[in-house]
Amino acid sequence: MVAASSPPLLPPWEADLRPEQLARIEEATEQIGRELFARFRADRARIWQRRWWDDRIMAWAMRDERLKVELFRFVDVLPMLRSNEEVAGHLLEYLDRVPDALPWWLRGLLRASRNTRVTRALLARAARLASSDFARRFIAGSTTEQVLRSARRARRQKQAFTLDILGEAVISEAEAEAYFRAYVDLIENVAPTVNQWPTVEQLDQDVLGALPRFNLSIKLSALDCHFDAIDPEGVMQRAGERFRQLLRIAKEHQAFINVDMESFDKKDLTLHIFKTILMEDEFRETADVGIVIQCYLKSALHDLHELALWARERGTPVWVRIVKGAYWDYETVHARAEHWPIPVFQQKWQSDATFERATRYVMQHIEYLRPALASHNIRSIAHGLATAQVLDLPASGFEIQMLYGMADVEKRALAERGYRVRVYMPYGELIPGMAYLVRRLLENTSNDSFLRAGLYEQTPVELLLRDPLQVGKQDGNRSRSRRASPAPRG
Amino acid sequence: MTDAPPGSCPATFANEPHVDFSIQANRDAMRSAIERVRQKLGCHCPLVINGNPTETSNRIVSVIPYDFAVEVGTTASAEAAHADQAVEAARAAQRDWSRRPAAERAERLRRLADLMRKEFFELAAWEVFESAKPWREATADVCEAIDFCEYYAQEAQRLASCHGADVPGEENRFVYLPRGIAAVIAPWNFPLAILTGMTAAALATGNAAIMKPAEQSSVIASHLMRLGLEAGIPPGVLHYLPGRGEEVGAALVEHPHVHLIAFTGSRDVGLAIHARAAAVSGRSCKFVKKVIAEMGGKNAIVVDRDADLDEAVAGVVYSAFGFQGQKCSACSRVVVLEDVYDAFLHRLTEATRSLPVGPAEEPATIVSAVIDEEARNRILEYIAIGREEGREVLGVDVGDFAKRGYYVGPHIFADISPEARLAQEEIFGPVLAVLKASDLDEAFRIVNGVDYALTGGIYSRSPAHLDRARREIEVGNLYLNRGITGALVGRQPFGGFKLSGIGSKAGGQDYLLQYVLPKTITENTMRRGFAPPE
Repeated sequence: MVAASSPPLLPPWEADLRPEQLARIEEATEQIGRELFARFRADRARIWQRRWWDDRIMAWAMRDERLKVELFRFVDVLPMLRSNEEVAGHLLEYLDRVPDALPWWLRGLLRASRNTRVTRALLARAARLASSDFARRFIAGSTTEQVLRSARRARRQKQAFTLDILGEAVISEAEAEAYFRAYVDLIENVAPTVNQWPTVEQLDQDVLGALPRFNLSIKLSALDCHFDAIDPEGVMQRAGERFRQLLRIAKEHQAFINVDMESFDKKDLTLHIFKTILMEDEFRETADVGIVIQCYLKSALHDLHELALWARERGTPVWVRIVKGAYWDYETVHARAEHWPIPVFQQKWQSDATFERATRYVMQHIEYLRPALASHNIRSIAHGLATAQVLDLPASGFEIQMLYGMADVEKRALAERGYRVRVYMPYGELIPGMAYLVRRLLENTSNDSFLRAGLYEQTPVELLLRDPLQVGKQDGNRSRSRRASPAPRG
Repeated sequence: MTDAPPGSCPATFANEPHVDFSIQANRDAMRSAIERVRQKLGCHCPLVINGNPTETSNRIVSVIPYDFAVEVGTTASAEAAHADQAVEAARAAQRDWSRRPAAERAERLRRLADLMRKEFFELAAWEVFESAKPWREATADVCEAIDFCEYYAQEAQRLASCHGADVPGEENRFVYLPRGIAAVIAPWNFPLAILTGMTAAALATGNAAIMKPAEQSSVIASHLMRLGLEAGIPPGVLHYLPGRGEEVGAALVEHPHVHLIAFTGSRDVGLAIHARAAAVSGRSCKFVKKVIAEMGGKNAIVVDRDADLDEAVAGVVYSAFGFQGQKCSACSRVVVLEDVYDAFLHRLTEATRSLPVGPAEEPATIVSAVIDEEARNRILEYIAIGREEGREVLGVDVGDFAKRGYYVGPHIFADISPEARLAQEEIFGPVLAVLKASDLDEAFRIVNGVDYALTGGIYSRSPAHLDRARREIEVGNLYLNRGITGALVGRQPFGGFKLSGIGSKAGGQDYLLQYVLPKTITENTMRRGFAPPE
């Protein structure tokens, strides 16, 4: 009924902002971007900081793709290894496969440590230390107490948080139930504590009123061991019922629930469950929920339009976390192996441009969709800030989300400027955390990573702030035969 | 010898894409095909000899395994006399077929592949009903049938291209002749793919093919017959003789004008065919009969102490219980290193307990009924043996399903010894034996300590252990860090050795060589010191 009486809600590919608005956004993007960059480069890591060493190690690891693969494989298996012998053995086996990728001193060191028990034990200890160091950088703790300390620290720095429980793949009903219980426990036991914490105006209020301080990101696939789109009705029954219960408990404890996105094959089903349940009478007025749109997907703008239509009909807005997406390699490899159409853009600028288009669309329709811009790419963020400026959107009307352990300088700078920055905080044991950690390492060291270009490689600011559509035009003009560049990230 | 060659070898054959059921249109297509085929249940399929429908006095009744009160259909049941008729017709037609250019035969097979694509979901729906194949399995089988047509068409053309070694004054050519008439004796577990594969191989190389499908899947086979004629395969070179193996099967094997028997099925029948074919060779027929036999397996997966358990559990569960464990490639033993034994067993048990059991037509189903009553009884016997030989950690009760269909719930037996019957004999059902090994040496000894050598695998993240597995695990198809079923045409040529098979790999480059007779032709091109230019 609502749809019939209200003006048409045009899809993003038909209606953009007016040209003069777009021009002003572009101008403001560049200015904001330059200011932010000036601020970061002053805050560069120093040699006495851990960050500096992490950056050096990552820069070293990414010099050679083969070495990177072997190191990541080692990091991936490490938590399963029990003895020093096993650790040293694996490390040597992996590195032996790429001998020419190692510097002479490391080759020598490895050769020397290969032979005795003591040196192998030392090697194992060093490897464990280095990798748990990285794990600690990206994973906000292994227990609830630890992650709460991280959350509290973030709030003191005027940064909000969303928690994510790292777990093993859910392959049995018992594991799905356990995951669900973990979510419930977290809300029931932790939200009350967090709600007692002092208010931070910048984080806990927005244009419409109070925002939940306790914010949880969940995966619907963790609620059902057969989260398989072949059977939407069955999944709806199992995962849907658990999702309803989580929504009820969240409401009771003033907690926010964001539904995360995973691989493409789960996307439609996730959207379907989200929309169906939040349209039910009981949840129709629930505002403290969010969903994700992955802009590396060719279907992103279509899904966003559908979501806006749905939210308008619902009458209560939902938050939309706009991301580029973290499964680019998987989606590309999997689709190619299956001879399926590749669901993700093959050019980085396409994902970047889609992100910006999605940002403008959501900011144009904040009465239905509430923007959460999740990216470490300064151009993408600056474009969002510029759009808000041109559309007269107050800083509290949207938020910026970034991952724990990444782009800390950016987070600080944006928080100082009065924006609501929310940190995505994964926590959990190391073994189940590995998949997440490896994704983060890949992201930090990918050829197309914004962080890599911006922080390690000192690419000129003009290049980093280029309009992705211009990048696309130039790429297209330069050479049509060049292979598609991989991994749109950051 | 078994060192994996370094470098990369990209795939050259593009497989038919599997169905992406996360797309609603595909789910709708499957569901509506199931409803359309449901209306056609109860059909009757006569023999097809030389293009003519032929009735017989006896009939074979095919029922839905998960709902045995419902008939899928009936087929005629061929006898020895029908085998004679088919062979006569094939002899008359095969000569012409063999003289057509390879490209023309290939083109017919490609047309057959296209026809299968057109009826894709209906063919799959027939498999859902007749074989109790869940959606993904059923559609994958149709994909594989299409792949076989395309792949053997391509390979036959490669064989027909010029092979030789000329020198000045001498032309040396190497050509491949068809053997003649092939009897194709196929199993029910990949009812379209394997029948199509063996048949397409025979036809592509210029042979005639007489199809003797399994009694349990003869209705699906009739569709291949129909589509084959529609694709322009001459009626004389393709015949459809459903019937009892002991009767029409035996008659074909012994027939003096059948040159080749392509068989996939049990070890006992395979060995009997081999013996029988050898016994009549040189007596009633003046050639040595060629037998290609794909037989059983007792396939194992090793779980190393550093394995990714998320992956290992999922891979083992699917390999062991997908399609009720009724694949020759299915995992029926898992050999777990001591350190991870308990953790792995626990997650394996829970994951298996959670497998949806039900009618194959329900999209969620992963485990449906086994093929028939005989199979169910045999599997139940092994379950009883398992209770004697090991610790039953899981026995899923199928409840009321058992009243309507031939259901057997997934069973897992732990602490099985390598010599136990459960660890040695092929069960061909949803029963998994779990064995403990103290180290990799022992694990590989256990894996290799059976009569079979079909598929096998290992989950490990140690490059050195994976290298050892490459060298030491004796199987035809070895899988590292993935499940051990679902070999793809062209990508994973399939077949084993020891008592798992005679002959080379289906869907591989060597396969068609078994259907041909190589002939060398040398011509002296020199005349009085004058030779044509090179």
